[in-house]
Amino acid sequence: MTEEDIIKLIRTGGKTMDAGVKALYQTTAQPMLRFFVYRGISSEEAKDVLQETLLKIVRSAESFTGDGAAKAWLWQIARNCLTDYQRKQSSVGTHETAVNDEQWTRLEETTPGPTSTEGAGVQSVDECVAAGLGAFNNREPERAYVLMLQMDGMSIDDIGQRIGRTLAATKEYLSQCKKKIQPYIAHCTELLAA
Amino acid sequence: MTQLPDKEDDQWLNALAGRPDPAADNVVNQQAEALRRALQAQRAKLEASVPQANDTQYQQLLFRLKREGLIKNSGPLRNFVLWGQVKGQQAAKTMLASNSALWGMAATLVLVVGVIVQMGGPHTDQDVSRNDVLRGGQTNVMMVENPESRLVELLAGLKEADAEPVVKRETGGRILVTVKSSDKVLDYLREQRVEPMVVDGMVTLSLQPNRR
Repeated sequence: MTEEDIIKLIRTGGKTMDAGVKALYQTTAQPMLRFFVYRGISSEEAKDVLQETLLKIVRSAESFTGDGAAKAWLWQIARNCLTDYQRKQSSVGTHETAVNDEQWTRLEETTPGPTSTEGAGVQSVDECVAAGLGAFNNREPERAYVLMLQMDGMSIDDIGQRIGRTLAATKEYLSQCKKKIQPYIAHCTELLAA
Repeated sequence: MTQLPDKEDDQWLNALAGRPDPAADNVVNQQAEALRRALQAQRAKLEASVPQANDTQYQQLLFRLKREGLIKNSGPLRNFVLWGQVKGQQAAKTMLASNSALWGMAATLVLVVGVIVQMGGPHTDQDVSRNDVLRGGQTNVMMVENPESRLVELLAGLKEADAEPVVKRETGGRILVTVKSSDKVLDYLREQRVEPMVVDGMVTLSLQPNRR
């Protein structure tokens, strides 16, 4: 059963809707729980966010126009619920300032880069990369998550649905992820020859 | 890493996905493969924290959907009631046909079980509250330590949700709060770990002192 079919069932109401809700849960619950935990919230929190997400999907099923993929729509709701939850948990929402691309680039240029692990003693390549990945994950959790999806061999299309981007934008995003992680792991390549 | 950026990116991403290109620069493949190992190790740690989607969570979801009036009761309890009614009728017919005392007892038993279940039966709803004790029915009964102070909190929150609650004080310290249902109101109540029962577009909360 496709995601489109599931939404149709939910929109129909009655007993058909019950089947739709069941199918929705069976199809999306586990990958969404995984998505929430990978994006940095606890197991218990992930259950709460999942419930909010599924409730919102059922509530909003009527408003799904059918334009665009249903799967992308479901993941959009999951991302929004996660963002809402994280915003509520941290009080940073009130301190946020909108910046445009140019301001963001300037911020990146003037912000100190990741702490180098060089000089911290002799490490293996794997230890060095793992440390770099840990720091990258703290700074860029979504990019680290996307690299994990790529590592899993997920298709660009599926990755795009998880992060709400088109195919072309996802390819570009993946290239950017490679570029962004370099300051965290490039120095480890010196250990490759060893 | 001397290839064209696009090609090198593709090679790096393919190596990350476990498909290294033999024609790629060794450093590109080795870095991506080292990152792949690090990501796999990180995933193994994260997987231990990923909860399993199970029937309990599914039932909790159904419970909330019912509470919000999004789906009607059609769960196992309702099915059991229907099963009781059907089996009772079948047994009664068989009893009339055979006039057997054994079938008569069986029919009585099945009917009695069905009636008990319909009268209330085993309560399957989950207690979703962490602090207050919630009771079901048309009104959301909240057993609280101090109804007046809880009322102050609720009124402040409901006002923030653009609601105009009506408060009625009853004997025994019971306080009834009636408020028109809206997305904001429901969101606020859910934040308060209250799963409201919406009846005719209204939510009624009954605050009662928790006497232990």
